[in-house]
Amino acid sequence: MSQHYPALLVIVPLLSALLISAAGWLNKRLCFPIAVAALSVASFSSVGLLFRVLDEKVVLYKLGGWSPPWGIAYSVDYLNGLVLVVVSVVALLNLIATQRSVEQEFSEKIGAFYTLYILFVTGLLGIVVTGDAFNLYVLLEIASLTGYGLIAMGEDRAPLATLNYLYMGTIGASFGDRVSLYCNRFA
Amino acid sequence: MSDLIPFIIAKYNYWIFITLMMIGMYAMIAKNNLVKKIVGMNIFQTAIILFYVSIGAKKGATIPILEHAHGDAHGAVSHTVEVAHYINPLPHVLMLTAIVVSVATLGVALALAINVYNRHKTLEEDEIIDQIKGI
Repeated sequence: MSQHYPALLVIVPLLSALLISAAGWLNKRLCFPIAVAALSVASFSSVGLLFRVLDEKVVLYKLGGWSPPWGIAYSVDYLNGLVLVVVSVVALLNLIATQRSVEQEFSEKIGAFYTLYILFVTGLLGIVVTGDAFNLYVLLEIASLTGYGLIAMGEDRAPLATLNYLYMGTIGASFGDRVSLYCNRFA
Repeated sequence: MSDLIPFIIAKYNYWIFITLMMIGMYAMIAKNNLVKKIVGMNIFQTAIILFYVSIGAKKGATIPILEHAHGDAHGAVSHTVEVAHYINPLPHVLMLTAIVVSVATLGVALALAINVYNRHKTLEEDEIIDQIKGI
């Protein structure tokens, strides 16, 4: 179990985002508990991972046992471990603290909100944990697209402002994938 | 001046991509209609995809699959792999993902444009800003 912490950190929120969007159709009251459970697992594994990093200095996790030139490797050092703990624990606390206001503001869109929120946290955790530039680009896009979705759920000027943000973000990501290609080339 | 023209012609594909990219950038900055801006964004992304596909291409090279590498009848014959004969697949693979992402971005952008239209009954940006200021 403890050697799979880096994978659990990303896979559990990713799959539970699918579950939450299904729960949004069936029973809206299930959305919040699933989201809390997913982020609790992520926080637990990030804390466990931090303790492993303190022992081993650098934790290298090969997804599916494939080593780096072909497979995807997750690598976590001291800074990564700390940032993972901060991101996952703050996301969990924020989720619990804002439960009531989310229910008031998005009473009919609650499933969509929690799906986007969990996917966004997945993207952020993935960006920190991954050791592969190609993977980084994909997770960056996950985080930014769900970010557009979350901002667009606001009132009044939100859609227009999101559209402006989307133009900027797309240009930025276009240059980001150029950087990731060069990282791959010279790594 | 006489050196400049062969230089431009030798790298004509890059000039085409830069022109496309600037057309997209211009549309995103200068156009007033939100759908035209989204189309400009798509042109920008397409220019980048074409650029990558172009830098991945190699004259006289083929796809990076070794023929008869396994189960060869003459197993003792060692194959030397000439790098110049094979294309590096990395830029093309990266662009496969970028195409998927650009389609997803286009979908999100168009959904937002529909949302803006439902709220303001127009897609012209100056009219929307007037409405926002008027409220």
